Amino acid sequence: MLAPVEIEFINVKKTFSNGAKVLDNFNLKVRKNESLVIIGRSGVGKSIMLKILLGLVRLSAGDVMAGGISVYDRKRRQQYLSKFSMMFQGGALFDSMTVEQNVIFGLMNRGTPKNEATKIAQEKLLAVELDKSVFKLYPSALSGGMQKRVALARAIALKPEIMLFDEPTSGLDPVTGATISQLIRGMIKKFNFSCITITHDLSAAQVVADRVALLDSGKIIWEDKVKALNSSDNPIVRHFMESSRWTKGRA
Amino acid sequence: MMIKKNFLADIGAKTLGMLVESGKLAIFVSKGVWACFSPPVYCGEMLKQILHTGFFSIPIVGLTAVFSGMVIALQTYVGFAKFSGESAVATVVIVAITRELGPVMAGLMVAGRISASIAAELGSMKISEQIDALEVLGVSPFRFLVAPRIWACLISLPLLTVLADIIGTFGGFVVGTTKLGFSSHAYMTQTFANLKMEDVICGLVKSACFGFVIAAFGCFYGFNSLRGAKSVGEATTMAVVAACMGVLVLNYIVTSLFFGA
Ligand SMILES: Nc1ncnc2c1ncn2[C@@H]1O[C@H](COP(=O)(O)OP(=O)(O)OP(=O)(O)O)[C@@H](O)[C@H]1O
Ligand SMILES: [Mg+2]
Repeated sequence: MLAPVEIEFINVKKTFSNGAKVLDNFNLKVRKNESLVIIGRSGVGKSIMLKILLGLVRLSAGDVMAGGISVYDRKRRQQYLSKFSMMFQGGALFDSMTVEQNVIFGLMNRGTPKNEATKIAQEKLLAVELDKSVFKLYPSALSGGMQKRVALARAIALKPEIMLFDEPTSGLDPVTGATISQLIRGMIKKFNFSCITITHDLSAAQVVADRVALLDSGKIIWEDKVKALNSSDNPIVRHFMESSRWTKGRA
Repeated sequence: MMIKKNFLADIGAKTLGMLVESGKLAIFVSKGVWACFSPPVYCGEMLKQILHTGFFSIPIVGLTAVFSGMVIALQTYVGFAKFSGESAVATVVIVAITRELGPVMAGLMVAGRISASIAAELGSMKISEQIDALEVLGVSPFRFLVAPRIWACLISLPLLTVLADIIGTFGGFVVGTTKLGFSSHAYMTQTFANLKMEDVICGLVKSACFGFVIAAFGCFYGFNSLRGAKSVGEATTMAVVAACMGVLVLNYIVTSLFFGA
């Protein structure tokens, strides 16, 4: 039997004030405990899609539901948001707080007492392979990849119902990248959240995904089980696969 | 004919743009005020902001005040000498400082220093998605970022104004006694005789209003930065210009409410 639908985009349209049409009749369903990976060329609107889901960017038409609540429901906004945890593409670390405080701040705002939050924060930071020596540093003192891992730790510390990752492995070396994708997979198995991951990294997609969807020209133009990626005859999917094989072959 | 049409269309578009902007500002400000009076209060953030806005503005406000006091003493002496009114120096200095120079100088200095720093900081938080991240964590950016800054400016500016009043008067005193030949006793007596409570209070009310517009414009333009470093730069410029204009306009309005006929 299919699990109930957790996230649903219904005929979503997004046009920016400068006329740029990003999403057009975009439909997508994610079921409970399912891990969906979204791939697509740069600039097709993948990040915007996640921001629309969180209500950070207003949609031009359509509706988005998560756990039975509409993104338009301002009265239940806090309840709606408390279902989510998001890792932003650029990290979005608070640069007035240290690495450790960044993670603790998130936890405390979701109601975890300070002592426990500190413990969880340290545990998660170690899990993303950050050294204890960076815990008290400010984000500006870290490399891009390290910032990314702090952002990841901050996101996974929360244990929400729905997890959103915007390019969790981009900018990381392949070894760390592989560890991170394993970590995400492990978390999904252990905590049973629904998950949307955006990535260009197809090897990460193979590890993380139950299902893969391809976003192009404002719509999902292809979606299937992750295993079907290799055998798909959709030209854009094939193009994606070939380019990634090519890069891998060269490296 | 074509040119005329375009010209009119331009004026129309600009006017509409300004109306939209004022509407956005009004909504932003009401949200900010609401955030100031609704829990949770982030005390740590507020203290940090008070330190940044108040304490670290002391040198620059003090310096401007002392030189303003000194120059007004000098100018009054020279000007009033033409009709033998030199003896009024202390009176003019204390009235000018408490009514106008203290609050306005403090206001303009803080407007330059703080509205720029607020707009730049919040602008870069906005473009690096930190404000989005706050919201997702269930933290209201208005309560966490805007309210502490509004409170900090509301509290700091009157205190800085009191300081500017004292230091400015002292500047006048130094010039009066060392250069213009007043005895320190006579200068002080005249100063206190003309120190009016209502002048000081008017100055404090003004400065609290200045504090509010400085924080409001800084936050508004910071939050409305679009994307990229250029837009943060533009937000900063707009914030400083708007805050300084705001200070000068409010100065007239509050003055006319207190002293106007
Ligand atoms: N505020 C905005 N105003 C106008 N256009 C915007 C705005 N924000 C995003 N866009 C446009 O929306 C499109 C989608 O942006 P988005 O950040 O979602 O891309 P993406 O799919 O995440 O790309 P990448 O893989 O490079 O991160 C882009 O073409 C961008 O130019
Ligand atoms: Mg993106």
